[in-house]
Amino acid sequence: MSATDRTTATINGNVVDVRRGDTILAAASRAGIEIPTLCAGEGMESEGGCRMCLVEIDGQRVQAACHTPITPGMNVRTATPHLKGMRHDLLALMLSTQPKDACFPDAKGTKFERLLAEYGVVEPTFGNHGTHTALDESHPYLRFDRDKCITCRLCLNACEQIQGQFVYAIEGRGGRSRLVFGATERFADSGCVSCGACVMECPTGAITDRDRIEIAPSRAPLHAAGKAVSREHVQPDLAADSVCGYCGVGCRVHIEAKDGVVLRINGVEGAAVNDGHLCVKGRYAHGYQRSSERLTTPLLRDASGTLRPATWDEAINFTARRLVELRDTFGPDALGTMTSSRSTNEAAYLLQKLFRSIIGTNNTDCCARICHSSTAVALGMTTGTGAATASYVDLDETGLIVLSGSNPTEAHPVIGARIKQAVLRGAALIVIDPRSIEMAHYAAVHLQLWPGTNVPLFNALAKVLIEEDLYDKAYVASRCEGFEEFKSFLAAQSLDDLSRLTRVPVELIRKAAHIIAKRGPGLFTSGLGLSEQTQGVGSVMAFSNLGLLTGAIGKHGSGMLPLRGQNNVQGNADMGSQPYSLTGYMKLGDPAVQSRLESIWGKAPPPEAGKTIPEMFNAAIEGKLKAMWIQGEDVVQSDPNTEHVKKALSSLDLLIVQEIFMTETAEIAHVVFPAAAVLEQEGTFTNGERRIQHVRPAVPPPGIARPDWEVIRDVGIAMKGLGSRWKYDSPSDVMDELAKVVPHLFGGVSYERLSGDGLQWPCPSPDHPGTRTLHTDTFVRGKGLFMSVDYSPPMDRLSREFPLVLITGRVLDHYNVGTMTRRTPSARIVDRDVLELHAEDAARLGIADGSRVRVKSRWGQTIAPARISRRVMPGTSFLTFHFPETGCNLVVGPNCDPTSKCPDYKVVAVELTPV
Amino acid sequence: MPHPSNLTQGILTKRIPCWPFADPKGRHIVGWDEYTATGGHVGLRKALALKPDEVTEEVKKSQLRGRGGAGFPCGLKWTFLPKVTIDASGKESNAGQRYLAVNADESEPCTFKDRLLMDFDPHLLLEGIAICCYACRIPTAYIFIRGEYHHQAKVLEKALAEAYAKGLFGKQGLLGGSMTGKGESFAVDCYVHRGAGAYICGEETGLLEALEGKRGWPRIKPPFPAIKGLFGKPTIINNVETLSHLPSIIENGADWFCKQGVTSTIGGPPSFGTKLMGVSGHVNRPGVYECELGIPLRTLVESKDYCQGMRGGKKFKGAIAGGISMGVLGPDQFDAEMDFDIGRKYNVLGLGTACPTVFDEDTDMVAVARNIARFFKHESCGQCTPCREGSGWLYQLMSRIEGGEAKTKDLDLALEVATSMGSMPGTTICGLADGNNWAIRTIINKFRDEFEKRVKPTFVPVKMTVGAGARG
Ligand SMILES: Cc1cc2nc3c(=O)[nH]c(=O)nc-3n(C[C@H](O)[C@H](O)[C@H](O)COP(=O)(O)O)c2cc1C
Ligand code: SF4
Ligand code: SF4
Ligand code: SF4
Ligand code: FES
Repeated sequence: MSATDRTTATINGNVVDVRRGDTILAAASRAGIEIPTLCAGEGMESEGGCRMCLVEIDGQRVQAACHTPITPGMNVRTATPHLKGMRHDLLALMLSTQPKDACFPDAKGTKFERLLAEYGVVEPTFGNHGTHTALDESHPYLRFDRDKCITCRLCLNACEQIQGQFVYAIEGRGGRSRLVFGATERFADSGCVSCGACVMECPTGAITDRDRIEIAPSRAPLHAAGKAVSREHVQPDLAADSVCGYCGVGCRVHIEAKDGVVLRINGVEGAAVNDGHLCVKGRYAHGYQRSSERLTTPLLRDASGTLRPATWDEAINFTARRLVELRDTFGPDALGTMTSSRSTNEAAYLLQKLFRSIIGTNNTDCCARICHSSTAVALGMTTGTGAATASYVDLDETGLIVLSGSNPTEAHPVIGARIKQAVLRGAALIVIDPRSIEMAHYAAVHLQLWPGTNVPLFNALAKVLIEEDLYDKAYVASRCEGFEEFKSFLAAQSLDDLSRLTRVPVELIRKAAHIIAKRGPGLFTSGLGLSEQTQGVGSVMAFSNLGLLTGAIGKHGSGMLPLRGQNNVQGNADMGSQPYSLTGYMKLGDPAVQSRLESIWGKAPPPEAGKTIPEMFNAAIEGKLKAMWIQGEDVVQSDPNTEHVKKALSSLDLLIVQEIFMTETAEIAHVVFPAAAVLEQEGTFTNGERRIQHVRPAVPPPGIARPDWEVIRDVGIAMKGLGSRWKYDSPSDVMDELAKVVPHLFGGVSYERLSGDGLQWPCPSPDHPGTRTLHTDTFVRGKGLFMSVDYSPPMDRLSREFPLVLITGRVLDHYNVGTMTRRTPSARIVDRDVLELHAEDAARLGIADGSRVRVKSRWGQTIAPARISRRVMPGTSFLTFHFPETGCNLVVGPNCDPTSKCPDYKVVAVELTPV
Repeated sequence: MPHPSNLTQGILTKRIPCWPFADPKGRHIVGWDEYTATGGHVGLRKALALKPDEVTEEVKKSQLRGRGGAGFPCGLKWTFLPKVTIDASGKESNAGQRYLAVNADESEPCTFKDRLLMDFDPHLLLEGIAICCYACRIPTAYIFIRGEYHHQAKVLEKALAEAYAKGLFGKQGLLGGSMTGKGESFAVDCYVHRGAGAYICGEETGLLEALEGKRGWPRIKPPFPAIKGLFGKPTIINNVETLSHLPSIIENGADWFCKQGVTSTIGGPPSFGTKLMGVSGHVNRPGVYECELGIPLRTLVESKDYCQGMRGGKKFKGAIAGGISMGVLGPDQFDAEMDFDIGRKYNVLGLGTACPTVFDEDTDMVAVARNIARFFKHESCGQCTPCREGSGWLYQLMSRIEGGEAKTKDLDLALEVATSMGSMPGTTICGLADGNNWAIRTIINKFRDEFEKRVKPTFVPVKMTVGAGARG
């Protein structure tokens, strides 16, 4: 800010800085002068309704501080008797509209009640004319008490300006104005997505949530209407800043707990990722933590074949002994592991290290195989790093977002909200998705392509950009390679053919290309819809061609921004949970790496790549794989082709499972280690923008359950040999070792530096600030690589017998196979999986809305209730996979991307029949 | 000060037979041909020969003040629009999208003056719109007309169709694509938009919200509409009567305009020009009269040219100054001059729409207060706490007083609430609360004895220590 922007003004005799664009309220708060407000929200547009913030200004009329700009030389008074009198009357007027005792002066109460106390408004001077209305408790998480509402509209503004959901409206004029939930009478029937942003803003407690009411021990009935109102907020005995354990967005959370139970979770204000915001899962779906179904002790399968409780010593020694036996009998490659994208970096690192060094195999894979492996592989090939090139903050700065195969408002809600705000602010949005997802309604263009045809669609866009000379020639010339080949590859294809394949009209493709050219460079955001396809790698590469063509990669406000599925999918890959490359994506067999690992680990891993998860399952069935250690993943339910997986796992001599619940996978294990959940352990997670953040415990694990990393360490030590060298007293020691193992990415990362927003890798040295944008000057691989990817149709072909396409995916309120969310009130919002299909198909097949439908593929079948929906196009259908009863994955076949082995969850040929 | 009535014919009402200049029986809707044949479009032609800024300058010189209620100088308002750059050769940069919103909402109780113009001489308004659009480089005008003006909307729409057919509006440029002082023709489109029946949509930013299809909730200012108005673009809002003055001002010049009306006697800005005054209430001949500003209320009521005296020869008791938001004149203020000084001289909010409602000696002022309070309670948009809650509470209290159930202390409370609702603009987002406050406060203050007769005494003196009443 230049010096001319600033001069000074006076507030209550204090000289304050004047910054251009500041309101009097902002200037006062910077100077530590408090002006009472009831409708001003941090970071939200001024509402100006409550009029509590009125101030006197020399030579002017009274003004509302929250929306009056401060100007140089202004002399402002904020607390004169006149103003205090007006505020007193305002508060009394508000109180007068409420029934008796709905709110009352209380220095420890809500903001409104504190103001009543401060201004001595004891009774409603203007008569008590509020009538009592019934409490709306219809919503599983939120509650609305109209009696307390002062119509300040903070909730409405939060819903619009933070979440972008537009749930609330004001109905009626004047004194009859009241807050309504759109056109619905009950909260539960509204469009609310339970993000809780409104709860955080409401100054009266009229909108509140169960975490602020139900756990309160003292619920003194206060008035005749018999309403129970908790006067005392339960004070937490422990609070911790941590990271949400659900999706790959990685929101920072502030957890409050008492007596070992989570009371409530709030977003951390000012956090780089979420600035105080959270979604329904992060904020409310923590009930699973105290579920009675949690595993509390280790379990061992006894001679009779049943799992019985064991002590930690028994379980650890048994595991270590069997692993050593099997390694020595069948060789290291007869053992394998699958780390969990849910676990911490430290646990993932130790588990792959155990297999790579103590055991000596590269059979180390991760459940990310089934979601984002294609993205990592593809971006690795085209740019040199298999990770997002951009950061979330770029969403706030960009003028263009191209969204493909991602349904962020449901799968990554906090980013979904941020994208919505970007669009509301004026950024152009292009949605490329076979389903008419919510964001499609915000899009400038929605290219509703036929499932599995992303490659030809991206090629078509690239073709238009090149042929109409709309690409960044300087960038392509200086920073990329493979362009000429790519250009001639596209020249050989006809736009009409591509349009026919994708079923998207040429004009629409052109329109989208023109927007990309005009509004870019922009962000290219993708999700599982791109990677979970037979052509997953190809799709992401074709997508990244667009990033290269428009010169988007390596700049602020643009780049590739894939949204990672699970909380630590990025971290798991970073830690080396893949069979073909090492920790930090280091090359197998690279002599420098070999020697460094030998000095740190005691032994370098073998140079040959190990097996991927599907390969391990096949090897198990063939009798070549004898043991598997599966961390926190219910593969039986979540992996494609359920029967095949069950068969593989039951063929093993040793199955070790680390879990928080007794999953279907755990039920067939030989050893079950009870794990500490996210809220119960320390470590780090790395989110989808490469941000390593500190996870801290707020509550103890149930029973004698322990954090994964500790158990792995103890098994390692018990295996003797190289394990005897394992000395880690805390996860921080593991991180310190990681910094040494991969200095170019993590050399500067240590727990001391992870307070606040953590660090975005690469962070090579202790004084390095971390990296927001990758490939700024040069690509990690030198030049950005154009890949000429030809379309190959999905392997699961449609046929007369299986004529419809099934896409699988998730809904907002649940997470993955629902292990956690089904054990929370979210189950009341969405209580079953549903099959969405188009009315045309439904009519043809004789399927009524809500009726039960058999979904049959070449691989299996299941039954689900039908919902006739305009979100899917004729010939396609959509099924969620949150409930084991449905067993959605019974239907998904073994098809996967030939390079990444990422299974095709998105295009399955099915037959639908009414039952 | 004697009123210098040197007018020989109406200016705004030139084509509308209107007392005292003609027999009202001859009133009819003036069509395009009649309009042009009777001197129409002379002002516009003259304006188009000038540069836009010269037109603005002339209007500024005339000191024409807004006729919608606030009396803001019209030409000055126009200069708040973002400046265009003009190069050495006189070529202007493109001003971009701007809007004119014509305030034809006329919802103030007791006000019915714009209606007369729209009823009978719609082309006068359309010519005024064209002049304003040209001067302000505005390509799009919306006439926001109150929902209840069904007939008037039809008249306007018909006139607009005529105006398009004759090439006044439309893409060929004003007046059939006439060359202008800008060196090229200038095209304007004009639309009629009907309101849905809320008083608050007459407030200029409430009107903009309503035009955008939203609830008529007045906006926070700044930003002011001239900078960020309709659909976020620079916008001018003017009243129907204000715009209807433009053709004659341009035709005859600012100096001519300044010969009508009066200068301020208290050192304020002058009140030039004629004004439509719609008189209602207990007078012998209510109606809309075009008079020069400065005419004493007594003259308006008693003159045989105008209202011909109080009905039934009763005594004057008081009058609503000019739309109920302005407050009331007391029995001793019958001589108040109807000009923009009236607010400061007679302790009312202002001249408002200059449509007085006259009360005779039999009027129950408590009932008047109750009725006014009911109106504001019903029309508050509900955005600001003091207005939303205060208006309801004031109505309740006025009803209680009327019903004889209130106590003396309630009167003080009423004053206190009224005062904290908007003794000064700024206490709320828009002026509606001010109107409510001024109306109730001036009635109680000027007719306090009537109220006191209706309330039961309170024996404990009320202590106003913290409330706004502490100001005294
Ligand atoms: C509550 C309220 C209602 C109003 N209603 C009207 C109206 O019906 N017609 C009108 O012309 N101005 C009305 N105004 C005044 C307008 O806000 C604005 O000042 C006027 O349209 C400006 O035009 P002018 O400068 O030509 O007078 C109202 C103001 C307030 C505060
Ligand atoms: S919880 Fe979120 S979506 Fe629901 S009403 Fe509140 S802000 Fe809107
Ligand atoms: S519910 Fe709360 S935040 Fe919403 S309007 Fe009412 S008091 Fe304000
Ligand atoms: S003063 Fe009244 S009418 Fe005007 S904005 Fe506020 S609440 Fe609405
Ligand atoms: S905080 Fe300024 S009006 Fe509410």
